[in-house]
This record gives sequence, structure tokens and C-alpha cells, in this order.
Amino acid sequence: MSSHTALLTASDPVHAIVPGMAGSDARAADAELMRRVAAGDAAACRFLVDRELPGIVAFAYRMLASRSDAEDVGQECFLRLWKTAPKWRPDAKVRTWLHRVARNLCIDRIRARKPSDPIDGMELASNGPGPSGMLQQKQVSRVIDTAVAGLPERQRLAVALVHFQEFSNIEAAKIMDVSVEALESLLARGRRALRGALEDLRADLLGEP
Amino acid sequence: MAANEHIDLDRLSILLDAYGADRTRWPEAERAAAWALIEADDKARALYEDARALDGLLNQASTIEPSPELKAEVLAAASRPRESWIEALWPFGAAWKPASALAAAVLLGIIAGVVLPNPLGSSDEPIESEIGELAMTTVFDIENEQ
Repeated sequence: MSSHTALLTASDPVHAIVPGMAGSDARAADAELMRRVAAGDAAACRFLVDRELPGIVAFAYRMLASRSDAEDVGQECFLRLWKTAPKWRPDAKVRTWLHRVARNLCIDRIRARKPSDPIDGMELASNGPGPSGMLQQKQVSRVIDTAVAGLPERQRLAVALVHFQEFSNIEAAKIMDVSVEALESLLARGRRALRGALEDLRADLLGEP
Repeated sequence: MAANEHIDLDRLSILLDAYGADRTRWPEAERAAAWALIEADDKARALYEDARALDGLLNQASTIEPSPELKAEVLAAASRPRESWIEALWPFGAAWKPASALAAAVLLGIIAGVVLPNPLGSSDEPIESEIGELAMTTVFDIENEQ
């Protein structure tokens, strides 16, 4: 790391970046962060990794149902982020930018997969209920993961962005390059499909016949 | 965006199907009207509870944390030089392709220079004098024609 490296202090404006910050403030703070990244500031890089890597990996995992693929996508997203730092546009948000890159990488991987390729989530879900007939928490999670992984690509993307990544409808639509109305339609179809797929699980959990 | 004062059950159903029961995810312009309908109407309340149950299930999906190795690799990549002088000259991808082509052209030029016969012949006379003679001849011819 270059001589530009400097430790961020508690009074550093970077620490003032919190989720829910107004759009223009968040963009300005991100632009400052990226300026520091471009200058080789290790603390700014670490701050960004701590703030964004877990979300990107979780998003990629939701899309790909594979830890190794999700980590590969997370790594590639950050390599591209570091490379882009000197040319960063001040009107962009790092989180949105990373999710757009991750979306493209995930779609490429999904399309490159052969039907016979094993997917972690699918393997997990095949376990089913234990001998007691009661679903354990881990099994519940696996069934839900499988239901999400079974959604068509665009519906899965919409559900992942809005439900799991908690993007607003406008931001999610931007990431997907669709209108808000199209996003709403994809979300509604996706959630209806999930409701159908998880009906048995819901009944089981509620003790319904 | 102006707030919608009223929405009907059909629209509420679409909103809940799309965004679930978390009010913060609903479009801002419809948030107040949708909630007012849920509070006032039993059918709307049932739709809301149904969406809340699905949210509860989805919230039990598993998630993963990035491994410490991944974090270390990502941070290590940040400290590597981002753009070499080669990339600065050739920002269109892998630089070895144009570099190889340039090296091959140079090598071919050297080989051609050593192996191939002199295209100007083996005359010992200096080339400059040939060119000079040619130029003088041309000037002489033009003057005669005039």
C-alpha cells in the first residue's frame, strides 16, 4: 500500500456513512471513499470491504445457491471496484454499482451452467424432514433456499434485491434495467410462486393438517 | 410523487404480493392509503397477515458470510498496482497480444534485412547519385519540352 495510507479516525466522514443515508449524501460519501481507494488508502478499502462484501456475497449466494460461486462473484466485483476507483463517477452509489456488476456475473454463471451441474442449495434441500417428521431450523432454511433457487432467473433477481437485499423498488429496478412496473410484476409473480412452493412448509410449521 | 389517498383491495393485493408486509418496502406514494385500508377492512387485514406469514418464512432462508480468506484476498488485491504502464498504453484488455504482434513484426524485419537480397541491386555507386541523376534528367526533359 502506498504512502497515502492513513488510518480512518472516529471523526472521519467515512464513518458517518450509515444505511438509509439520503441519496445525495450517500453518493458524496461514496465518491470520497472511492477517491481514497484510488489514492491507495488501505483504511478506506477495508471500510468498503467490511460494509459491502457480506451483502454482495449473500446476494450472489441467493442467486447461485453455491458458496464457492458466490465468493468468486464477490471477489470479481471487488477487483472491478478497485480498478474503477480512479474513474469513479460521483453520481454513483457503491452498493448499487456492486449489485449491478454482481447481477451480470450471476446471470453469466447461471446461463453457463448445465442442467446436470450440482447446485449446493438443491443438494441441501433433498435432505427433507428428519426421522421425527419435525423440520429442524436448518432444514426449514434449506427448503426455503431451494424454493428461491427454483424461481425463474428474473423473478429470483427481483425477490433477492427487494426482499433480501432491501433495495427500494426504484433502486432495484435500476439494477435490473427494468421499469418499476415491470419489477413489481416480477416480484408479485415470484412471491406468489414462493407462497405455492412453501405451502406445505407453512402448514407444517403452523401444525396445520 | 403525490400520495394516493385511496387504493382498493385489488391494488393492495398486488402491493402485498410484490413487496410483502414490510411497509417500508411499499411505494411511498401508496403507503399511507394502503395502511389505512388494512386498518379499516377485514379482507385487507387478512391479505396483510398472509403476506406477513410469507415474509416470516423467507426471513428464515439461510445466508452466508464471506470467508476470512476471501476478505484477505480482496484486500490484498486492493493494494496491488491497479494500472501498469502497459495497460495505460493499451487499455483494451490483455496487453500480451499487441506486444507479441509488435515483437513478431520487429523480428521479421530484422530477418528480412539480413536474409533477403538488397532490392536496390548490388551496384557500388551511391544511391544518392542515382537519385540526383534521375532528378536532373527529369528537370532537363521538362525544360526541353517547353
